[in-house]
Parts: sequence; C-alpha cells; structure tokens
Amino acid sequence: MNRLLIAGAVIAALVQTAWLGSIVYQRAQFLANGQEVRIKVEGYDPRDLFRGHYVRLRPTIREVPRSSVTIDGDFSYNDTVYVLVKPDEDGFAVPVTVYSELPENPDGPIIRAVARSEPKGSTESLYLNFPFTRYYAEKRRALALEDFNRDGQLGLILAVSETGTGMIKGLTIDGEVFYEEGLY
Amino acid sequence: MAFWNKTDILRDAVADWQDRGLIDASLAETLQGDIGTAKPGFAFTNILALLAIICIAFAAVTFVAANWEDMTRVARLVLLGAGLWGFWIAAIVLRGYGLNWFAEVCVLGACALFGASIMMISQMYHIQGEPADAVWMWAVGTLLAAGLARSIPALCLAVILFSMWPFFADNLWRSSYRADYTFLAWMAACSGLAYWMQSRFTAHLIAISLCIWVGMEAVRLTERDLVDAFMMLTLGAFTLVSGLLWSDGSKRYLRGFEKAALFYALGLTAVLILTWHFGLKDVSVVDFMTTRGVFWLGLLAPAACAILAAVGRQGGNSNLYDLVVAAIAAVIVWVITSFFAGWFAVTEALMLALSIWVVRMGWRLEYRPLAVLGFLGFGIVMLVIYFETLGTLLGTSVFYLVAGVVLLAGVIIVPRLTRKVSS
Repeated sequence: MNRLLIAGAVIAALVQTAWLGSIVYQRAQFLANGQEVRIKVEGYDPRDLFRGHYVRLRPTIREVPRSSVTIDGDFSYNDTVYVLVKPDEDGFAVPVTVYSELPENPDGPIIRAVARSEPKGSTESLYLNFPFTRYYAEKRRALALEDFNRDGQLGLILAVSETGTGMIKGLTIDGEVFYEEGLY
Repeated sequence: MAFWNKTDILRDAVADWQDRGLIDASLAETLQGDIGTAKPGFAFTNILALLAIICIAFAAVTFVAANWEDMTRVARLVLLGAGLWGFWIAAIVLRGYGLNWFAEVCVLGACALFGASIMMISQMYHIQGEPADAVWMWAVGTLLAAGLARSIPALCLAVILFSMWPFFADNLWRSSYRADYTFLAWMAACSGLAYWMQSRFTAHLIAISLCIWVGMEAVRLTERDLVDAFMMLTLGAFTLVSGLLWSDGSKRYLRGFEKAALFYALGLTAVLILTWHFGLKDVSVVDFMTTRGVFWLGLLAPAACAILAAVGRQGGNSNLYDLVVAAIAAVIVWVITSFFAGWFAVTEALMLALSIWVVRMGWRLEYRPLAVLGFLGFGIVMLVIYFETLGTLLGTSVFYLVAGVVLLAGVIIVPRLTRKVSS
C-alpha cells in the first residue's frame, strides 16, 4: 500500500508541476510568436484576494459606434465574437469588423471578445467584453500606474495569436513603450 | 479519526458503575486498565503539524499577493516550485517511515503551494481569465493529489476550494448568473474519496458545502419564479431524508454518518420550506397554478418515501416510525405545493409540525443535534408567525391557541398510544 501511495505522490507532484509549467510555457510562446496590437485603456486600482493589487483596465474599444464597424454574421448577448482591428493614426487598434465566427485569412490581427449587445440592438454603440481587464503590480507601482490611467495616458501592448487569444505584452504611456514583458 | 478521545468519559462511567455497585472492584480495575492501554486517538503534535502547515500556506499566498518585485519572476517561480517539491519529497520520505499523518499534512502543504503558484503565475505574467477558473484549477489539482497520495487534509482543502469556486464567478450577484451544476459532480468525487478514506470531518465539510450551495440555488429559483424546480428540490430533500433514515435503521451504508447527514438534510429541508414560504409572496398564485409542469413528476418523491417505508417495514427497519412520517410529510408537501401555494397558515402549520417531528426524531435516535435543530426550527417558526401575523393579530392569536391545544392533547394522548402499541 505504501509503495502505491509513494508512486501516487510522485505522479501527483509531476502532474501539478507539468500543469503549472505548461501555463508559463504557453504564455511565453504567445509573447514570442503573437502579433502585436496596442489598445488604449482606462481604469482604477483594486485588490484581488489571492493575487494582490492590480490596475483595472477598461479597453476603450469595448464600446464601438455601430456606424464605424462592419458586422459579419449573427450573434447574441454573451456569444464569443472575433474583432478585426486596424491601427488608427496614433497606432492604437480600433475595431473594423466584428465576426461571429473566426475568419479565415483576415487582413489584420483578430482579438476574441464576448458580445454584450446584439448586432441589431437599439443602442448607438456595440458593447464588447475583452479579456484584458487586470494588470497586476506591486502596490506602489499599481498606484503610480493608476495616476497615468486616470488621465487616459495608459495603453496596452498585446500579443495576439491567430485564434484571437491575447496576452499582455507591455504598457505604453502617451503612446511610448513604457514597459515590455520578458518571456520568463 | 476524531480530534479528541473519550477516555475521561469512559473512566467516569466505570467509576460511577462501581460506586453504584453495578460492577465489582476487580471488573472496574480491569476496565480502567483496558481504557488506559487504549491507543490515544490523536496526538497534540499532529494538530500542531497541521496548524504549522496552514500557517506556511497562508504565508505563501500572502507572499504572492505582495507581488514583491525586488525578486525576479524566475526566482519567485523557482522558490515556490522548490517549496512544492520539498513538501512532496517530505511526504514521500515520511510515508516511507510510516509517519502517515505527517505525510498527509505535507501533501496539504504541497497543494497549498500548488495554488499559490497558480495565482503567482497568473499575476506575474498577467494571464487573463476568470478568477473562478484559477480556483477551479487549484481545486482539481488538489483533489487529484488527495486521491493519489491518500491525504485527508488535502481532501479537505479540495472541498473548501470547490465550495469557494461558485463565489468567484464575476456575475454571482447579477441576474445573468447561472449555477454550474458540475459542482455537484465534483462534490460527488470528493464524497467518494471521503468514503474511501473514512474521513468523517471531510463528510461534514461536504455536507455543509452542499447545504450552502443548494440553499443559494433555492433562493435564486424563487427569484426567477422557477417554482416547479423549487418544488422538486424540496420534495427531493424529503426523499433524501427518507433514504438516510432507511440506511440508519438497516445496514448503515454511510458507516454511521447517517445521523449527522440527517441533521444537514433536515436543516436544508427547513431552509427550503422557509425560502418557499417567503418566496411565494413574490409569486402570483395564479401564475403558480398555471406553471405546474412537474405536477406528476413531483409525486415521485412521496412514492419513493413510501417505497422506503414499505421496504423498511418488511426488513424490520428500526426507524420505521420516522420513515412512515417522512412519507406522509412528503405527500403533504406535494399537496401543499400543488394546491395550497398561497395558503400561508397551511405552510406555517406544516413547519411547526415538522419541527416537532425533528425534536422527536432527535430524542428517539439519541442524537442531540437533531433535537436542537427541531427546537431551533420551532422557535424560528413561532417568531415568523408572530412577525407576519395571520391576517390580523387576533388570527395569529387563534393560530397559537390551536397549536397549543393540539400539543397539549399530544401530551395526554402520546404516552397512552405508546403504552398501547408496546403492549
């Protein structure tokens, strides 16, 4: 019985380590190979129970005037959508087309989001939820970033995969790269 | 394994029997000697080890939350990884020496560091996603470890994490929230492991967790006017009570945990009936009567209770009396939920009757928590009736009077009935 339990313990330790390692490796692959996209954000500074202080990020592209985007396909509230983005004159990404399915060979980066309104809604804007809502930092740095954030100076650099999944790659302040993430 | 032992109670009982002349001095000495040689249930050092690991776990989680940037990310990762492997190696070595409890506690330490590592990786590398997903991953990894390395403390951690998991949903307090029913599958997995490891403490944790989850879901069901589902839930609780009573009176399939499980199941039933009682005020009775899609399906619960009572009668089940009462109560609940939904006096009378039944059950099964639950339920129902008033204060007064007279009649009739049945 003890031998079995020791073998079990070794397997459990290996599984836990491999699971943790795969997260770190996948994230590094994203940063190394993903397409770079910059988006403007705004936010405030709360605290997570387990992960400490963070700056709450609200990508400005979460609210898109319906007149400025093309909608391809039908989707409902809470459905996953794929947003084709192009850089504006300041270099920040703006949505061009919202697809209900992942498009083949898009002519720009695609970011996956969740629809918070329907294609033919009554509101002037189309609302989207992007999964880049938190930037964790040590308390003092989080508060300093918050000052920039309040004035709308903060921007986010993302690494985006072909399937639309994005990872935070760095930060910009007033359009200039302020911080870039290392792979590990 | 209990955290305390009952040596003192046994010694006092033997001394008392000797004083009253029930046993002679030599037998008393033999019994006291036997109690003295009994293996201590749980050494204090075992508890200290557990508390130490819990402190270390909190230290790791707080270290992660501090996001200490003077240390490089890789160094932090290596530190937690080394801690995780340190605990696993210690668990393996201690298991080899036969120090099983300490090995199990080390598995708990490894699982705590596994969770801290998940949080640290998602924090340091800004990996986005629902906080609930991180807690779920921690819980699954811990459950796996608890099963593979047979660790009760790690299993308890897994149960606690799965219990916390629904509370981390972003939209928990919004109308868009829908419960994830896979929670029940994970609890079933935890229950299976608790049964295999014979851990009564884990069973208590699972029961409490299930009660909280079902109670929360019941409140949501009334908010969403899903009276049909709520009716099934309440009747299902009665079926569970019957099942537990049947098991307790026959082969004790839950290894004696039935009485404690009855305590939780009856507590849950009381919460469900109270929620139903208050929730009905927001539901139009007319709407309710037209949405009885599960009218016939609801009959399954009283039928199941009746079958258990019949099987119990055939097999000489020692809880036959309570099995019959449970079946009758299930029929009454089915009738009330189907035809008398807006009759508050009827539900209040039902709640009073049930609380008295629970007091009686606690008395009969010699399980004090059940009797306490019954008294508590009785007190709460009396207060509910007092604050709500049945139409007018005079109406409430008449209700109390009738209840009092019925109970007094019971004081006179029950002993005679008992004597008649026993003769």
